[in-house]
Amino acid sequence: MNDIAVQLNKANSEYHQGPILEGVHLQKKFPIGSLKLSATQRAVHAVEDASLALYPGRALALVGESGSGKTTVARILAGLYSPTSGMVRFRGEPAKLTDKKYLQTYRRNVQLVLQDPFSSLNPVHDVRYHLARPLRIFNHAQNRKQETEQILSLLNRVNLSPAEQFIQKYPHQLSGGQRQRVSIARALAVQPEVLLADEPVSMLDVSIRLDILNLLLRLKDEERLALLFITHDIASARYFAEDTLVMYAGQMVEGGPSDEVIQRPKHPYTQLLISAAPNPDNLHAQNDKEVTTFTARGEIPSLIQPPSGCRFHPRCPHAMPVCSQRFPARTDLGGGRWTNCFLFGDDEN
Amino acid sequence: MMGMNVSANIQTDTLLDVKNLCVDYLASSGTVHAVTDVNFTLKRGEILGLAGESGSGKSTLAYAITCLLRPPALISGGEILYYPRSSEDGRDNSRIKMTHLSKGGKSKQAKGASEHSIEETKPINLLQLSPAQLRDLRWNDLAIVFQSAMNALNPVMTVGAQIMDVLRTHRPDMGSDARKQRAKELFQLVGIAPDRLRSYPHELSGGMRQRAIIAIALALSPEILIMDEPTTALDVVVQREILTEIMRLREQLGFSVIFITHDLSLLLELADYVAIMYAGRIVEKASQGDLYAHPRHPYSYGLLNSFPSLHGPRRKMAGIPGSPPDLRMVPPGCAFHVRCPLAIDVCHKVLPTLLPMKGEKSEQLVACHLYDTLYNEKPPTALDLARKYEALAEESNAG
Amino acid sequence: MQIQEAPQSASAAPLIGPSGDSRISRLSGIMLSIWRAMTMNKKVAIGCAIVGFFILVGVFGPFFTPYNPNATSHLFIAPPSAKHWLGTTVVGEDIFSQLVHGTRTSVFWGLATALVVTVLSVLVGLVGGYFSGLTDDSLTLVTNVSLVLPALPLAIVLAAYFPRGPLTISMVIIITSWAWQARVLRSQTLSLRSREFVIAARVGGENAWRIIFFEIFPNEISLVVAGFVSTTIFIILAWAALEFLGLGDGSIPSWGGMLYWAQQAGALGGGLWWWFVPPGLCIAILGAGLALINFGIDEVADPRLRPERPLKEKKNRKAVA
Repeated sequence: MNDIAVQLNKANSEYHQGPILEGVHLQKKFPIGSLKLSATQRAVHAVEDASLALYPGRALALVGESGSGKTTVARILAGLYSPTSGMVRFRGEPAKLTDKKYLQTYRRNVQLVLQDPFSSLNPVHDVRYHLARPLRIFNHAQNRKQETEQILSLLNRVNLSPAEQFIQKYPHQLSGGQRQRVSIARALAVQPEVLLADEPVSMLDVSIRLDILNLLLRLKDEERLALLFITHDIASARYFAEDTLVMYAGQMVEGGPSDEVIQRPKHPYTQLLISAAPNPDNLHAQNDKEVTTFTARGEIPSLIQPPSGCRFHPRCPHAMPVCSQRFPARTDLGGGRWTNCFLFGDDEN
Repeated sequence: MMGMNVSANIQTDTLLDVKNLCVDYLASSGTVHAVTDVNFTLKRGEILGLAGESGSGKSTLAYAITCLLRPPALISGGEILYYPRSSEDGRDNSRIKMTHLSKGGKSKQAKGASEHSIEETKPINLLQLSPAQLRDLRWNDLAIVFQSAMNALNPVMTVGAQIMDVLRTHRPDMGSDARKQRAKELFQLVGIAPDRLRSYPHELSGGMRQRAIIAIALALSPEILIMDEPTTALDVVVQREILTEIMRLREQLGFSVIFITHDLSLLLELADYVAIMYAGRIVEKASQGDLYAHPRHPYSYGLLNSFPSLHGPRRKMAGIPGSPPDLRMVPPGCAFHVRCPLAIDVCHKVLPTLLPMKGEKSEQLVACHLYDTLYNEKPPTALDLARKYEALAEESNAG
Repeated sequence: MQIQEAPQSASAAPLIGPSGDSRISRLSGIMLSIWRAMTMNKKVAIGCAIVGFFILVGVFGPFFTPYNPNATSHLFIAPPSAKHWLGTTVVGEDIFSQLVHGTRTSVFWGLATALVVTVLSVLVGLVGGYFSGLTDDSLTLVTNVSLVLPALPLAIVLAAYFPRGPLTISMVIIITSWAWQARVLRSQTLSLRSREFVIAARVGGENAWRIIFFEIFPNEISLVVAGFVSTTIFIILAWAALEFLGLGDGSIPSWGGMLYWAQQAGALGGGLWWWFVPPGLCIAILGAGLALINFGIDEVADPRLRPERPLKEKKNRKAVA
């Protein structure tokens, strides 16, 4: 029991030290068409005011459907896009992601694991090449012997054994799960402090997903990694992450401890998402357990001309006139929970 | 609304009877047995779910039933018996020529009076039909909805034109006004505004495209609708809508559905009867309730436990160790034994067959030696399965 | 978000060999895969044999010709005989010797020019495709202008100003033909640029040039080789055409040059078939050999394009529509 107490203390103290990576009021617009930069420029409003924080040794799940902006947020945090407004803070300091030299050191600390195991590895290079590159770029190995040792140890850590066999293989000789493990090993080779996982198991067979998720959890604990877990599957968010954030059409709508958000969702969209998720227990629910059914209307809006104010208002059964006028500010619900919904408060007063 | 029992006015007799179906792929490196000895029946108005991961053969099975397989795929054995509705059930007359199709015979063009207007129509073996007869059968009786609507719809034709194309092909006597009317009806049926008939596929959202595909599939009021992962590429909310739609349409029109997916948790909400496939064979068949309450086969249990639950206690879960088999190198005996936490000695030697559970009234069938008293005296209980998988979860947690 | 089945490719190993620890084994691995690629497919094998033959003749042939190709003699317009295997020209030069020396010129200059064209198109196409924005826009502009230039009039104009000879012809062909392949490679690069392994390389800290030449380019090799082969065909034919128009150096024997002189001497009308048929035939056969390689390359590089083998097993088969 003592170890658990020690670990909890450590986790809490890290939590209180402040986040290692933050996105602060991130906004991202992708202009459509060519060079015109006028005010009437058409754009895809992919992300509208997203703020999140990642702590060492904790996982944060970012849940949303297509067009929610979750992948864009991840790519901004990974330094692939620069935000239209807002900033990224690493260890409390603003991250100058447009500066090439800074970006290289940033990459040493923040890595990304992508969704598609079938295209995230270059088909013409073998596993050794994929893992050796980060070691060379960031000078983790002094000579070829060390490099090989480190590669073998990485492969063992992601449970690809016997490692000597895997080191020579090409991506097309590996299964989907094995490729994803190689991608994770590649990210780990950099020795990062933050791992951003963009739907890491969505394209894998169901029976092996948990294995990969458990691997990520284990690595999180062993290395005290800060994990961002992007997913459309809210049930796996509950399994995997301590905290959950829900996004809709580029806006953040709710967040807090995973169990709380999922068992007692406050925002109408979160409620919709949970009632729509496949759940065989629904049919066999006890009479006293309430099964929330939610009649959905409409579809996810176009991001080129998104609805004004709260983008969910056209579909929301509780919509009020103010919902179409402006986006609600964050309301703190206590216990780490918050939501952006006029039903719960309006801090603009 | 989900999972309600089939309403009383739909007859519960057999519609499709698949017997010992085998499909092989002939590759230069050897034959791959994609589907082996698959048996199942589909009753009228029933939703049969086929669950499996990659390499299970479920999509190959769907293609085989609709006879859409191309070389090097080859149906190497078995029969697919289809029991069409007799003419007394109010089918329109132009379809009567179907009942003249007997085994191996050619269709006789006898519109009007039918010689087979009796309750018992002879079953038709789909594998023995000529291409012309198959073309006639497809879409009239058997329709298929594919995984990606964007791939199934012609991008340069409006969706309305595509529905009317189907109607023109199969109902040559229908006038152009009647066709337009029918197209509008179909769109209304699936919940799309009729003015969208003039839209191109890329102008519709993902959910709407899938509804359009379903509308096209239902254009000729088929008896059987085969759906191959129809909602996998859709968001969860849209998926829920589409599935609700399908259930409603089934109530209204009385067709049967073969629903193929990897998402077992979805099937348990949707299907009346579920068959779980692994490495080309069916390893368990059970009703929805039976499978939810007590999955017998270790693979079924493991699969069901690969879906984290939304409610209930948070616990460490493990999925199933290893990965789905490469069909070119299927393990001997029971293909699952390599990954099975309860495998016994006989499992890697002898192939298990689908057997009913001894001493139970339910129709649950399992292909597992653990339940065969010949090899194992005491069949495992649900608790035993749970314990073994939990032990796995502990192991994976430790290292 | 679709679940994809693991690709069940029929080939056991890719065309690029396994990475051994030593350079030598890596080199031999590459040679082995090239050999395998050449012999895997009938079309490619035949094409390679033809091209190989011409290369051999071009390299070694001129040492063994019976006569100096420019040596005149008293035997004018003689039909083929034991002394002159393909007869003589209007000034008594041995046609067979000319043909063999001409092979060296045509093949060597053809391949060299094609190489330069390919390298140029790779550079422009890949760089423009990877770096969007101003770089891409300006390179595209240059490409489009080059595409629009009329090749033949330009050739004639340039030939009027520059000394006649193979170098001029080579330059003209290079200037007018690099743009086609550059466009193709640019589109391919554009599509590869958004593939996840390129994104992963960026996040992994690779710099842009490394990504272009070590991540993207290896995936385009089959396209580049196919382009090289088709460019070679085009160049050999264009070369012959330009020589035929008289833009070449008359003293250096080449297939096109032979056709030029044959035409000047009225060989066609005079029925001197032994003069114009051999060079024409050589051009055609080499072109056919290269075309065969080109047809076959697609099948070699992309396993999905390989033809379905006919079904061999017949037992218990039911015909399926």
